Amino acid sequence: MKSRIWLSFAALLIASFVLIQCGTPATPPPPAPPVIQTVVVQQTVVNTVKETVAVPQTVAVPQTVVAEKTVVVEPTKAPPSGVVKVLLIGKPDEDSIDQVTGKPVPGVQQLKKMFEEKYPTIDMQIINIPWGSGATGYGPKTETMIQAQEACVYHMPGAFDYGRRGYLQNLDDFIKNDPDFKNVWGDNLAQWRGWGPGNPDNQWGLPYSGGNRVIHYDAKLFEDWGVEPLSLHPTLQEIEEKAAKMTGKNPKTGEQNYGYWYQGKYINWQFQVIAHAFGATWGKVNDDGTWTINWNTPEYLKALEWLVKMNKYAPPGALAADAMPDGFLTDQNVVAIIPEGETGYYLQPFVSTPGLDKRFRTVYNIQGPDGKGGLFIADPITMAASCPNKDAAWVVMKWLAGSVESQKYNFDSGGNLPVIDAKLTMEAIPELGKLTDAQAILDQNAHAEKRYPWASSQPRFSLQTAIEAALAGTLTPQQALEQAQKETDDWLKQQQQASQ
Amino acid sequence: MSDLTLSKTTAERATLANFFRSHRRSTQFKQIVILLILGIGAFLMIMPFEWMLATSFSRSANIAMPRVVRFFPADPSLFNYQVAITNLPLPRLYLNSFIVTAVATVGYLFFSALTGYAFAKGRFVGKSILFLIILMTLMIPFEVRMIPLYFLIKEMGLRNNLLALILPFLAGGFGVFLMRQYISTIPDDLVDAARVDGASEFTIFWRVILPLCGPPLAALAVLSALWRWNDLIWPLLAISDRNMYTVTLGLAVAGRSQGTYTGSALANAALAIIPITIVYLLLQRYIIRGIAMTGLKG
Amino acid sequence: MNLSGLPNEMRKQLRDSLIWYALIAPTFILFAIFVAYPTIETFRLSLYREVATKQEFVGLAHYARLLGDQIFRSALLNTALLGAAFLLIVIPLGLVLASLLNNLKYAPNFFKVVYFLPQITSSVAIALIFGYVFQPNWGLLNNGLRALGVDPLPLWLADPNYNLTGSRAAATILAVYVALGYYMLVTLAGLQAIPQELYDAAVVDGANFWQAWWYITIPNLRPTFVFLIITGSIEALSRFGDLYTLGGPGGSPARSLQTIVMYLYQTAFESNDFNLASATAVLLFLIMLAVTIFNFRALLQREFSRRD
Repeated sequence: MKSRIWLSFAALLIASFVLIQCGTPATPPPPAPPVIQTVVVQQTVVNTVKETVAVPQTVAVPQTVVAEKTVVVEPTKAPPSGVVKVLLIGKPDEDSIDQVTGKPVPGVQQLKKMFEEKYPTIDMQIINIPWGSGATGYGPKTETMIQAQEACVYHMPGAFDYGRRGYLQNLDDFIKNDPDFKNVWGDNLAQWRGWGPGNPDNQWGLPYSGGNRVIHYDAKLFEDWGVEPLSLHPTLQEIEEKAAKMTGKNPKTGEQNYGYWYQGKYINWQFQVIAHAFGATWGKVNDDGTWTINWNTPEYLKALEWLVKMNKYAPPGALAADAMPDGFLTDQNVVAIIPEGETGYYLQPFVSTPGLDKRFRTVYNIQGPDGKGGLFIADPITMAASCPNKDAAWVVMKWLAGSVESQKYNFDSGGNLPVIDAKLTMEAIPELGKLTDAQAILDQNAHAEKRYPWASSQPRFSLQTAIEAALAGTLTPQQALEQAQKETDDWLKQQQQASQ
Repeated sequence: MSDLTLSKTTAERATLANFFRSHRRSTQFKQIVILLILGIGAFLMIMPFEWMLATSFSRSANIAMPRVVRFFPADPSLFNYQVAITNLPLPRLYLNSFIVTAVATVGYLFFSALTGYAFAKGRFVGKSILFLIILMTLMIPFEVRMIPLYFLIKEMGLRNNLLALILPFLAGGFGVFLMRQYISTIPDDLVDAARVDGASEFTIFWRVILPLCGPPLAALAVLSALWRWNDLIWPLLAISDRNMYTVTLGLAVAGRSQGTYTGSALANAALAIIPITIVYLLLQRYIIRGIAMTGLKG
Repeated sequence: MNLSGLPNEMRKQLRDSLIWYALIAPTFILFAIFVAYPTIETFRLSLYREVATKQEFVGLAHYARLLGDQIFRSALLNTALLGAAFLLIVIPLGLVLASLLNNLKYAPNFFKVVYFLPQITSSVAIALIFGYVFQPNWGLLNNGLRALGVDPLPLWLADPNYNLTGSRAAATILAVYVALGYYMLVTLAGLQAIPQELYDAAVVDGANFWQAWWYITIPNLRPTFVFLIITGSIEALSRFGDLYTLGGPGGSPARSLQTIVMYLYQTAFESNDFNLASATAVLLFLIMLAVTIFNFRALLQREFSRRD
């Protein structure tokens, strides 16, 4: 009896090991035996004399489309081919369901399908990881993947950091040597120039995944309280006055209303916008690639004091919030002014629910003396310096960043605003032009601040913690900024030592 | 009881009888009070789970949460579960968790028992020093060796492989210690008798010792299974491929990235909790006995 | 002892030992690879720093830096505070529940199963649920408190202050909720191991309930308490999963939930300073060692002195 139990345990052990072997990701099957089309090869030989030597003899074109392809293929060079591993962040793994509307959301394999229809010689393998913060977020995952050289192409919010540490490929040569390259992103492209070892000015990435931060207000609550709607470019003073008026019992419904909102877990971004409006600047990138960061300035202090003052107009517990207020975009909403409206939250509901954008209005983010204001959100797509298959990786990057299909997919799957210029955007998603506040929504990014290079680094977390402490009252605004400054200085010093 | 009272004087006997009689009279009342207190506690223990279920079945929980306590959703719907099942590869996560837990636990039991047997019944040079080394490993928490272990697994090419979640946990100081303590209490005669019959040490271990080790093995099995199933920090490091996620890791990742979607998040949690709860209810007798045992033996 | 006979004796001894070595070999190989090597490596890493992707010896510089680091000290304080609060609540509460359960005739198993339930489910799942339970506006707890007329409502995870309604209190409630069943069951096993004769004798000697409890129950539960305090301290010192689920990278709000292990994790995998993180790990190890030795000495002193 006992031995039978042990026998079954042993069987379980063996079975489990077998299962593990099945469970490990199988190494990708070798690409199908290349079908070398004689016509193509001959053409290549005829038209390019020198380059034929370097051309890999693996033009893996499926047989059925060969006839068409021979016409399309540029006779100069065999198309780049092979496996390109791509790290993407926050895409749905499978075809899934929108968590609010229940509408279908295309899974990431749709993106792969679209790409490979266009570039059948390249096997784009997507590794998709979720957003989120901290240990379970994209940050540590990206770090380990780039260290392990697991992927070639990266959706990489922290590109400047990795560029600085020498992990990224400068794209300037690719842009120069690619006759097909067109800048479809406008000024967005230059946002991704940054310092690297040996060269102070590199093109680290192409704009890829877009979004913006706008200010929403609830037109119905404004009406209930008899308050003038927000102006298209609201000022701090206007927001403070109106928020103060609308905090309390709603004169129509009797419900408790709040004038103002902030997402505690990401308060740093909102704070940067406010500080910018007070004329603060975070510092600069020095010639040697190090940063000088000044949190402890009179402008930042004024901004933090203002934010602490506004705390009393926000619902209790906003400090623990990591999203829009509960009931946002529904009849249950009780917050009148909702700053830092994120594209991911509002764009798709606005498009799919007619009339919603009439109650929840959208205006520009608060602007500073230079006419800029609001976080620049477009994340770049980058190439790892260690990538073994750079020509194919470049094709993948260009398509992900610049094609109408890929940008439309970003909208369909995550409600992202396209990063390509307005004309192409309208071409990709015509509905966007019809929104009530289309101007503010589509134009906000043109007024965004230049991207913060420290956006995914320690200085951000130090400041974030300090603002939380100031809002909770455990530190005065002055103490909070001193603490953030000290931690940031310590970190900068450490970084400098490490790269000496 | 009667033995005890036999030698007592009549007076003493009377007092004792009184004591027990009053005890009996208060018994009913006392039982009710105890039941009441424990019942309130049990209610508080279950409430978060009940609330999780109620919320996860509410269609509007992803949009706006009600501001009153509800133990039955006002708008019952399977929507959140539909979202959860479509958006998270749960069967795959369950399979991963099951494989890791089963293999690591079976291995842990085997190596613990084998080594425990050697230290309990074996006679060999350096035994006490070697056992001291085992005890020393107890003093090294996982977090302390986590970073080099992470690099080691990477070097071995085991990232995103379930073996990475198993190999480091096959042998553990606590298991060896517990098994040695238990096997020491098994009479030597049994072992000697088998030895006289010409059985090898491994045969003795397998045929004689192991069948007697039910209680500590059950206890260790429960502990190991809980450790492996619930571990977060190590899978977080060793696994980045979603298809290799364990349930716990998938839940942590999905939970954090869902932001405001309370209903979906709680449906995920419910789907992760319910199967393990069913297993628990089926095996509760063994699990609870096992837990009590590890406490006593420490 | 005959010296010339020793080699033979030893040889025989060693030969007899061989089979036992074979039995313990797999375990020791696993220990060497997965325990000894990484531990030694952690110590080594803690004495170096990375300079342009090369390791450079810096001695104890990381330790000096850690001890002067405000973030590390606050993580240390949080860990100690959360651990102490947890043990001070969960052990007495576990004892009370175990005593009640020990006297219960009806359905004791039902209560065991229910109280132990949170321990079975992953701490991450529970923390996920409690993140919503503690939500200040519509969370289960505040909705309940509102129904009871509490005003103003606690802010729980949105309040990093040192008080009984803030994030640390919430984290402690969560920990007690999860662990209570385990502490109750272990204590109950301890209670049931106390020989009934001791109580009978006490009754004969005229002891009342409280006297019996104080003079018999508590002293006899000493080994149980020692076990719970030692394992509980170690667990509290390495707390991670639930707080990370609640408080994100920095143990927010305002680092009020950041423990040593979270600090270690953040240093290693967010700031990419594996050397400083290794030094943190070594310090954590030393603290655990110190706490365990202290607990042993303090709690077992009576036993030791009795034996000596």
